[in-house]
Amino acid sequence: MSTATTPDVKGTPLPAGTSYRVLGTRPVRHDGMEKVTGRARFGADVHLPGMLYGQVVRSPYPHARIKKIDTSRARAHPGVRAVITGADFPALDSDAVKDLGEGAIELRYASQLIMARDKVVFQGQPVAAVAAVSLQAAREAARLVEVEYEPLPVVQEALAAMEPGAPLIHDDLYTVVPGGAKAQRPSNVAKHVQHERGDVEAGFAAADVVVEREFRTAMVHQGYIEPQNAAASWEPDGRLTVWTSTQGHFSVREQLADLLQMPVGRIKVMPMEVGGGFGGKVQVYLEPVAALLSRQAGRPVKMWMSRAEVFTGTGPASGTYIRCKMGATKDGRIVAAQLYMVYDAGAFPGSPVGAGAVTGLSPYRIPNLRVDGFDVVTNKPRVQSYRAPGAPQAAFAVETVIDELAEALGMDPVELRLRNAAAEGDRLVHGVPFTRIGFREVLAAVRDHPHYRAPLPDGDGTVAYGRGVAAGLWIGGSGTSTVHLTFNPDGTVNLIAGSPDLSGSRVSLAMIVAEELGLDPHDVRPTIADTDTVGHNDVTGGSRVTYATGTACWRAAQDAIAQLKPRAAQLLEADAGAIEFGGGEFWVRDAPDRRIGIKQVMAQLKKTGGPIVARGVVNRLKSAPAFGAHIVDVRVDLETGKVDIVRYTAVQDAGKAIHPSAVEGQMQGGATQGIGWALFEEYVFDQGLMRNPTFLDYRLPTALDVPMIDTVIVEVPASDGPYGVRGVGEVPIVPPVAAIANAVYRATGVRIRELPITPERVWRALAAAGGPSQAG
Amino acid sequence: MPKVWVPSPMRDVTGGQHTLDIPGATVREVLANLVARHPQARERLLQPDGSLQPYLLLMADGLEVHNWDAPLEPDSELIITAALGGG
Amino acid sequence: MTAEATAPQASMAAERPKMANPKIMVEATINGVAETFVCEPRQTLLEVLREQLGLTGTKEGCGNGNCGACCVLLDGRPVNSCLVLAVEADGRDIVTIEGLDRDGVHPLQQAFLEHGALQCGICTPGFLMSAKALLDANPRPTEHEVRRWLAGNLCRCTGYDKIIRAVLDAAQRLAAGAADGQAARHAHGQPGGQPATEVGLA
Repeated sequence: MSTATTPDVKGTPLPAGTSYRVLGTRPVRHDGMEKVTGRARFGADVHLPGMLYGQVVRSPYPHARIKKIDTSRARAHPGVRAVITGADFPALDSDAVKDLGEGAIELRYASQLIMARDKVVFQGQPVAAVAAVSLQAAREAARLVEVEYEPLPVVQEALAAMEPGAPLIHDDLYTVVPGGAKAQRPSNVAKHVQHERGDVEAGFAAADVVVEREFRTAMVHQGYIEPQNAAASWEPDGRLTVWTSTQGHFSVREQLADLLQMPVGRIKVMPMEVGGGFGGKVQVYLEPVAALLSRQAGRPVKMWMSRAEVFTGTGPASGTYIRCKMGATKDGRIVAAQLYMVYDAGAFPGSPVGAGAVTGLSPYRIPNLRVDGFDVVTNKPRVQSYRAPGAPQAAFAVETVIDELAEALGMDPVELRLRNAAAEGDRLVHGVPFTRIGFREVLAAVRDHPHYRAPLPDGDGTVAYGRGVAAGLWIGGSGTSTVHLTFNPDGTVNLIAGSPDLSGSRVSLAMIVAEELGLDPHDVRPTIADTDTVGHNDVTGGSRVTYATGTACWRAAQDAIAQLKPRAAQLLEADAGAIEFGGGEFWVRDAPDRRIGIKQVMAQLKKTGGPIVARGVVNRLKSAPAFGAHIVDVRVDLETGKVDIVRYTAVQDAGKAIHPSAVEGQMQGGATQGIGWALFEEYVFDQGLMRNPTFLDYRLPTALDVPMIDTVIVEVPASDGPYGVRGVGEVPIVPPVAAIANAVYRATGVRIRELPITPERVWRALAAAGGPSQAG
Repeated sequence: MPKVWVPSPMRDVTGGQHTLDIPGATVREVLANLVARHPQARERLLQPDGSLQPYLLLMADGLEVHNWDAPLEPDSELIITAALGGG
Repeated sequence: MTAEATAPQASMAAERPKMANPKIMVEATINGVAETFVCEPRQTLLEVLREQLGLTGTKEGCGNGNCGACCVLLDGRPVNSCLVLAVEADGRDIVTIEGLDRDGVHPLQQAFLEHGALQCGICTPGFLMSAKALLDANPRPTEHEVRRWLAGNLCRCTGYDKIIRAVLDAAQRLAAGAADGQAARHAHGQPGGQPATEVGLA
């Protein structure tokens, strides 16, 4: 291992007139062939010798005391090899907080989330689990577990949960006010975050126009197509191996160690391919259950969830209630803003209200503001992160109110945003200054895009067309990443990384190494290694992989060059200090004709001193905030209220697009998830019971529901990290909801401030406004 | 000397101030001087064992603070804020 | 705890489900090969393909016919294998993703790679099988026809844009290959190939 220090990198874009050799091209991804041929191994594809099938028994009640669990009939089933309940898990009473890397949860709640103890707090909460010799036997046995419940009053809505006198879901939960005084009495309000700047009342008094509105968004699910899965093998010597589809296998290892009270060194987690995560595959659910079933049975156990289990038993995104008030002067300056935000955490604390409270107003320079955000527990599934967690709900409110301000001021809505857009040095809501950002460039690209000025079709009395715009911010994650490079005699390089690849990040990482070493991207062979094989890596989340793990790749490549130079010097019979490197070749500084290709140096490592291992580590980088803005055209059927998306353009600052096709894919996919959030998706609850836990009744957008999504990539280099690259995954889900709501208004004259924008809601709003003849 | 930004709910114990000039050459020194000057700030910021309260985040000059003994510059900004808790 | 350790009690024996559920022998052609397997009548084709026959390229996304990830061809027709009982496969011809192109790489697969028409890849086998059935039935579909045909396959990552482009491109390649009467189908794209945006829509 080299002792060379890797230099810090700054975001230095290429000098004008030069171009990258690899970055910006579109090579086929390394894992593509195995994914189009069905050979890629996802978690549920694991098959182990002697493997059993596990099945969880779940609570049919959203809130109930567990009076008794009788597992005797299940144990008597001839196919059954293990049965566990909450009694088999270590008791964890600590109020220690577990940082998952994307989201956080108190350990005692995390333990109850995976297996209830004396009470259940949401429908679908596990109460027991079985392992049997076949899938069918496991399902039969699960039905034989008898649980006696005493139902308790259900607290379904967050606003009701906040009322004094509401039934308490947890009698040990006290409101935390970060920086504030301790609460004296238990409450369903887990957290109250507060940010203030200037004098908000004076700001509103100075405004010429003030708009204040209420917004409601439904609980929605990430909707990854692959259900959660886990296989576990507990070895006789106490070692545990787990195979799972996860966004962070190091996080899974830590969670297992905490929940099962065992050292991380005894746990090995194998990262399988991940069939979509979007924030929902960080928290463990099945992994500790499979582990304890395996320990009891003495055989490996595999489990996966049904779709209904995914809906009720995993973590969707918070439903919210948001009140947004903004004031502006006649010349289009936003002078004051206030947000009151209630985020439904579900059964245990931990909604992303903190991120929502920061992302909502930060895109704009606002001298006076106040934000109050509340994290509230209810008897619903405990939420998890979902792509830009917390931000789309806040943007729905803020970006709609800005649209109303623009109309009241008689200004173009993009112009109003441009006039108030934050730039480098302006402070986010929580006080941290922005590093270099490209919000103004993104807005200018929207303003100048042909779509923004293209004429809309005329309505005919039965349909109406409208165009909306909205913007969005994601702060950008950094975190810890480790990569290793090893070198093969045939001139190929093994890139050993530990960031699970959810969408094709392997190729982007390989491209960075290839760019630096002067190789073809397919000379670099990326592997996502298990927890025993590579150094620590935080989860794939927060749009951090290309940024932070990419920076680690850049550093590893510099380390490789530093270590290869002396080897090249030997082969060139020159002094190591006289060796230069560029474009895949080493040469002698004063005799540039004496040169040798990097592949030749790799071929002769054995005789020049042996193998080389290069490494790159990132512990933290400055955040690289990213902005997007979307233009959408809708057609509204005035008789039925149905909204169709007829044209869509997404604009986003990627800093530097390493693999433009991958960036476009992120933008298109995020926009489409946003379309679903806006128009179709919602958990329908009745007394805490989800009434639509299938893809038939919880409707994701299909290919028929969306048009082609046009993309414009803006490149304003980030301040930190190589090439100015920024994370791109989260931003594109932030603008769509508000953009669509604004478009519906422009088409019909009615504002829908509650999601989803169903035909019924549009129809009712049109009827209340005097019918279709009054619209638009 | 370093400028410290405190969370809005803490202003009741810092005389209404959002930003404070607190001397100190490291994060640890600045925090110690801050709670010496405003004793009620101690339990707002720190757990009994002296570590940061959960749900708070320390940022120094744009980077999350991992090491309280890392040096601060005289013009450094130390921002204490609510952890984002998601994303 | 093992079953041996739990001595079944007399009172329970009556309620106990029978271990030996009757099994049925099924003979089917799977990816061109005659296969014989034994299964319970209640097992789905999806379960048998994945858990018994090791054909894990067919994916389970919902288990109730709403996502299309488990799409296979049954006598040439696309079906959700989670809604087909394995015993129904008796005497039938089944093609899974593993058998989409037994000679190499199908133009649909190649187009998906070059267009970046996949992200996580879990829905990809189902899309490919469904798209294969489309192009078999309608070799030159319009964009709308592709969207309509593939509306039974859910993708949560891509927003469908690149998938639709890939299918349209594959249709063109197949048509061109048929016209040339040569195996354009085995042409492999080079890394750094054509950007997807250069591919026009039919």
